[in-house]
Amino acid sequence: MSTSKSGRRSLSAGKRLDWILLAPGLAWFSIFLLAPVGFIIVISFFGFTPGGYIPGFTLEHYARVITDPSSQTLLLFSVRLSLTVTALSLLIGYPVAYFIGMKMKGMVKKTLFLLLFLTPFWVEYSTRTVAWLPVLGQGGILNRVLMGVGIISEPSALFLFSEFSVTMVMVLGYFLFMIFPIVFAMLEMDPTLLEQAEVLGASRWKAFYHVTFKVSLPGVVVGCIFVFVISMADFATPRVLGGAVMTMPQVVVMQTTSAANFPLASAYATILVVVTMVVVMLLLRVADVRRLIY
Amino acid sequence: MTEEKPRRDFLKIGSAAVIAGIIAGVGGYYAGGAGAPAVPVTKTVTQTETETVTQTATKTVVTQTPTKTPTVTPTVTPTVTPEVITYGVYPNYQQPPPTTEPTLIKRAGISMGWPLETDTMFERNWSNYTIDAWTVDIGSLVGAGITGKSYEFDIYDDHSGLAGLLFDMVGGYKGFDIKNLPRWREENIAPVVWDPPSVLTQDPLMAEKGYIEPAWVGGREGMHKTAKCLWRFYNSDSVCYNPEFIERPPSEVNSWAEILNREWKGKASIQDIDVIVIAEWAAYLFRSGQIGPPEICVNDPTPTEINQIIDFLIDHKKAGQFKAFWPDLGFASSLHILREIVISDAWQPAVYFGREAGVPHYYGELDFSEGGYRCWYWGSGVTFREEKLMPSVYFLLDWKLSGEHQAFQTTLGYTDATYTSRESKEFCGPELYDWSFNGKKTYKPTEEAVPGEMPALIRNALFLPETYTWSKEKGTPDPEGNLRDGEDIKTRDSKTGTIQVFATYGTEITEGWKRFKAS
Amino acid sequence: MTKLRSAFTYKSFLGGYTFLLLLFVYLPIVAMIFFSFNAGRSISFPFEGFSTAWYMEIFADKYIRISVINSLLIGVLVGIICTLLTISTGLVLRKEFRGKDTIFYFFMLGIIFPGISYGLGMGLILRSAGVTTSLLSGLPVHSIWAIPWCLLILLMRFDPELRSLEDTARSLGANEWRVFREVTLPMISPQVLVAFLFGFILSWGELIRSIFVLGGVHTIPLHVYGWVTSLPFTPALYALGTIIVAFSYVVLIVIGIFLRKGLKVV
Repeated sequence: MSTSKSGRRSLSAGKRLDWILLAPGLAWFSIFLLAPVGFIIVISFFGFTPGGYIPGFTLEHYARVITDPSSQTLLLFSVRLSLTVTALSLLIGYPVAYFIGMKMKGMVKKTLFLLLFLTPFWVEYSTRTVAWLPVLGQGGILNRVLMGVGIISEPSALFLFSEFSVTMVMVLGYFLFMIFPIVFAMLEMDPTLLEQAEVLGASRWKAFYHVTFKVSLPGVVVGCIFVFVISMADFATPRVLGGAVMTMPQVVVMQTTSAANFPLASAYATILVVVTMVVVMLLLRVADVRRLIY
Repeated sequence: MTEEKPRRDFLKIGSAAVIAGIIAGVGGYYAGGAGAPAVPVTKTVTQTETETVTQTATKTVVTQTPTKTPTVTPTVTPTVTPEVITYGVYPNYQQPPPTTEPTLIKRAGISMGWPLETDTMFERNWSNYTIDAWTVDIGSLVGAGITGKSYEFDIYDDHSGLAGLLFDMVGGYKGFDIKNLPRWREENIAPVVWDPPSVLTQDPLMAEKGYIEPAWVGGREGMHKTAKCLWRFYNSDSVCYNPEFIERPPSEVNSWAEILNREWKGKASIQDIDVIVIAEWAAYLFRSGQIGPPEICVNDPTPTEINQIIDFLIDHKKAGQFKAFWPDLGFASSLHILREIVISDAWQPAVYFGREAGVPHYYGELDFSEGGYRCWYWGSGVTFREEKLMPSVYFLLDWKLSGEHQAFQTTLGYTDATYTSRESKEFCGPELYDWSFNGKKTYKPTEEAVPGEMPALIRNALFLPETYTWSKEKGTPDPEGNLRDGEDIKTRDSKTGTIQVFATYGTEITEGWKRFKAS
Repeated sequence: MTKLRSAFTYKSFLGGYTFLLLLFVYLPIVAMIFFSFNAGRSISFPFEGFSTAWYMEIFADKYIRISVINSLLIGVLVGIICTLLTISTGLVLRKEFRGKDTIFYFFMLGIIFPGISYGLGMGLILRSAGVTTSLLSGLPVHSIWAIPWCLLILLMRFDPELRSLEDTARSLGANEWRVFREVTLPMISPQVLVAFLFGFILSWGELIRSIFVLGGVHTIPLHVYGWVTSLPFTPALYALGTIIVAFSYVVLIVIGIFLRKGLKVV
């Protein structure tokens, strides 16, 4: 920090500017996020009446959620599923991001390629999910190809209505959220760094690890956050394609619309949020990456 | 300076994107207004069916109109006393619409395809009306209703499972006067709607709880006076199966337990909606005596009973009986069509969807002692959004009780509350009416409707009321004609095993369902 | 020599892998496009011949037309709001100050909070406030969902190098606006473009939050959801999806042309 007079003046002017810049976003979120979220959290302590709530204070809904053994199973399963999807997305997505980020020349090519991955996302969520049926079903494309090639002799029921199918569809649907941040992180890398490392005698793997990977790490963390959060919140894919699979968001939906028990649904929602937040915070602490992100 | 290039790129990209968006929006708007043909291209088969029906009816307006036509005043909702009206010559009974001004009616309902077609029918009859329909699934409809969105519509559809809820708890809409619906008279309304316990003699308590309390303000006292939710159509759920795999006629598939038959392990499916599944299996377990007599009522299980039902289902789930759980009708039909499952619980239209796709399906005829049918009804609530629209809203609701509407619905497998009216009989024609409601065979052999070499079992399972030309003249049923699976309406009604209501222990049901799926 | 060859196979292996993955992601899309022309009713085999009847059905449906227009409008507006708020908030959050962590997680809450509960809360609030829903009420809801994504992507971009560039510009006498316009903005322009696109796409596909908030407004996700839940899936659904994919490729090509042109000028 400069100690000159002009430095001090620009400092306070800078601070004012900061607040001006922050104010719209903060106000926007305060009104449109804080209000509903606060409302829901408050409701979770209210008493139950179908389709409404009785103001008061009770912990019965939380008690019910926490003490119920199937809730614990459900929560653990949701977290496990999301972590699996995240890990697989990273595994599958990193090489792609590496290819696009490092090996493709030119911003144009990179941008277009990224957008190529993005365009299936324009199609409606419902349509995309439904479009998997002719692919994964027992009479579907995947089974036919595998049978034609000779890997399996009769159609497999594995590809649809199983945890496997849910995981696979989620990974294929969301790994692009992993690719985007990693590519962006790689964009800022100085290409000469790699050459310098090799000139200094580092093996290719060492160069990769110390230079490329470290640079992409913020992108990796952000990507993991994206995929984890979005898969925790996804309630339609497990419902449609999962068969007997059940995740936390589905319970929230069912309690809201079937039983019209708003306080209980809010309690589930709050617990879901807390768990997701905890995982996100843990992710952000990986290798003290927080500094690197912002 | 190299900084210039990215900035110019950015400006170009940004402006291109915004311009593209604006062009798309404006172009789409004009294309929408100008371009596409006005007539919706629905399945042509339904078109011809309704065309023949409506042609005979509409434009000849009855001269013997009631002396007091409803006047459109902004503050007073007009009432028409039934005693003054004299019905015209069937099937031409139709009051003139209350207004000839362009009117917009907003309704919110379940999307099943055909409600939109009936909207089009109404708009074609009276061209000054436009109906804007917001169609979503049950869960969203209820959710939106609960959060007060019902106030933005004139008509808000409601399901028997939640009728009481939306009215009582949320004040979503107000009761409305039955007197404003000229068609709601005893000679028009089906007995099961007019006086449910007289038809459902095997369980009158359930009839009260299921059909009377949720529909009328004041329960029995308010019957046919003020409605919370105007009963429109109802259906009976049963077992839906594919005879290619389950080679039995519908008369031999009598029990919900057929879904649990190990022969179809891994090829059976039940709904993913907790309250519906519990209602079905509660009926099965109670009525077959596997669980003791219900404490409250068959369709309102207590937590202990719920747990018993869930445990029962978990055993079967663990044995791998269920392949999938279908969240909605579209998905269920697709599962059947793709032959991923061979048996599930469903209602008659699902059977017809399957047949439309060329896959034979039957609807099982359940015994009362094995659970009986699960009945539910859809109704309409009225929100009094705009006082001056009320006459038109009542007019629309009254038309939905008409024979024209009923005849159209019947070919899709739904039953309206007014199926006993003379109007319905005239619009359906004797053949369709007897086939749908009286258990008579069609006048022509099934072979004519479903040509080709196939066993009779499969042939009858491909018969579609929509594609068959129904006679308007009385004739004789052919011994080789098609018999509707599901028997005649009186038998079916008497075998109602359970009626879907909003259960007292809804939360426990959802928790139990969660336990079921987590196991 | 060997290093060159191994470098070549290494790159082509990665390239092949990427293309294979792209293929897999596009598999349902290809199936969708293929079966949208099915003359028969099935969304899977058998394929009974070529027909564009389903497209006719889509074009004739008045609700689809209304939904597309509504969704486009909301999407563009949300994209704009998202971009503006992301930039302004991102510029501040990159700095260190007290309470920054809290504010950051506060913004992240927008995507972490389950959609159905958020929608319910918002719906209940709107009900008690007596606000009638319209197209506009969807804007804040969708933007709350979209902004955190864009924010994260933007925040990733800020690094010491950029800061030093900005400080250099400042020390040369430029005021904040000029620093932003001529140094920062060009450097973050890919992220800004992505912010707009993400805002648009996330709003375009947003379903759960919209149910309770957009009462009678028809949007594509709501309409398709109602359609998919009530009728057996027909190729008409696929026809709509194919049209959307085609439109997205048109946008892609337009962007590509402008990118290319931008480079050629230099």
